[in-house]
Amino acid sequence: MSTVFHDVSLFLLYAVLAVFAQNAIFTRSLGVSRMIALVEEPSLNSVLFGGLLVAVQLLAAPFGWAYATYLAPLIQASTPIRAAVRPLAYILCSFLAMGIVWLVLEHGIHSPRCSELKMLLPLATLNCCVLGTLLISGSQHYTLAQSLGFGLGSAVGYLFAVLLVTEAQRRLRTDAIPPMFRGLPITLIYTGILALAIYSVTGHMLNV
Amino acid sequence: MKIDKARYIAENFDEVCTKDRVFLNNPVIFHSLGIAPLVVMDTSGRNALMLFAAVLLLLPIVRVVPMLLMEHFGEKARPMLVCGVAALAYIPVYFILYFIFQKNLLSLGIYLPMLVCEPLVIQRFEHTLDASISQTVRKSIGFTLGYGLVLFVLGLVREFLALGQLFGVQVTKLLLFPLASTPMGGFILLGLLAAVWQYGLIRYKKYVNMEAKRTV
Repeated sequence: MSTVFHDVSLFLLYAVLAVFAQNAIFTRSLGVSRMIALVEEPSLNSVLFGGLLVAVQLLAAPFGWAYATYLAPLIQASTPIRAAVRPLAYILCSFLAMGIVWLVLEHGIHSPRCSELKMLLPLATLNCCVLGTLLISGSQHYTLAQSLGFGLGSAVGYLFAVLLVTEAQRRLRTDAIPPMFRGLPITLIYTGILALAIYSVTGHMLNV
Repeated sequence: MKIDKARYIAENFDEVCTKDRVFLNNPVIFHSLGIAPLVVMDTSGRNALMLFAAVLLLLPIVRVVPMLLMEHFGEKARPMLVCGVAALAYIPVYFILYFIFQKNLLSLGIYLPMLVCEPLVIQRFEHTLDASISQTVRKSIGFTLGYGLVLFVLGLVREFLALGQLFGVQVTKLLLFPLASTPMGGFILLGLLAAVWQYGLIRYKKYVNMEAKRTV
């Protein structure tokens, strides 16, 4: 019983950590290009994208954990082979997760949004946030509970960042912004300032 | 500038911009591609060189090979085909990079394998693939050079501001902006670089229009 409580508390701790202190966008810049595309393209539904991202991350996490724990140690660490095949292994984990979500959308859910969800599914899966989270979980040797929590938190944190930047974009569409700063420049500067705010809350040392 | 050339560029500015993938249609500044490695890892000239080499080797393969295999897989499999090719192509590319840069590659962390899912490399899965190999190769070379330009400019600026170095050589002991080596410094400096670039484009367009209206 205490093991279950321990794992659940680790899951929650890593989830919260990944949403705020280790936010995928603000701290690690995972999936920034996709975030900017989501923010600038009103036809792409960010909330649906976020929901799919959560599903794919939660499903890919156990596959990634299984690879890192059981298969990766079979490859000798001193050779570059393990590092070279890492992305392929984690991409396959993402494909498996995508396949499961696609099956659920195809046969399990009957909703008018299904076609939109299926269109967004490759964008949500083949994403630096998913691959980056799996790579981090693998290289840090997270347990299953930690991997699941970190995956969930990364996806939620990503959606949180997308919604924040979308709201900022709406307010930054003003003639007060000089033409040379409109669009990507002001979005990046705003994201950098938000990242600075999070760094100041969590506390980081600069190598000076 | 010659009047004929200026008039041509002024009348076909959008087309001229589309074809120039280094300055006028840079993949980072105008398409927001490849930002993650730029912001986090592009903190020195050496890292910029390693990232440029990786993109130079990976991008043409990931653009050309899916185009050749598309007819065997169908449109629905396009995203998985492009990403799968990227992941497979990464294996020989990693060995080449390891041969050249040895353990220095470790300084890139997860951002080197993450190129496999980076929109700069796999963006084509969202669009119909190009019609010809020559067009694909030309576009990929243009994109690589454009990305490389931003990599080197940003990397050297951040290395100088944060460490007072250029390619590891100490130039000054004055550390002007230590935050430049962090992701938040990367976001801000890339934003400023994008602003300067956009300003350059606005000025260039005005210059071309002025030259086109010249009668002598």
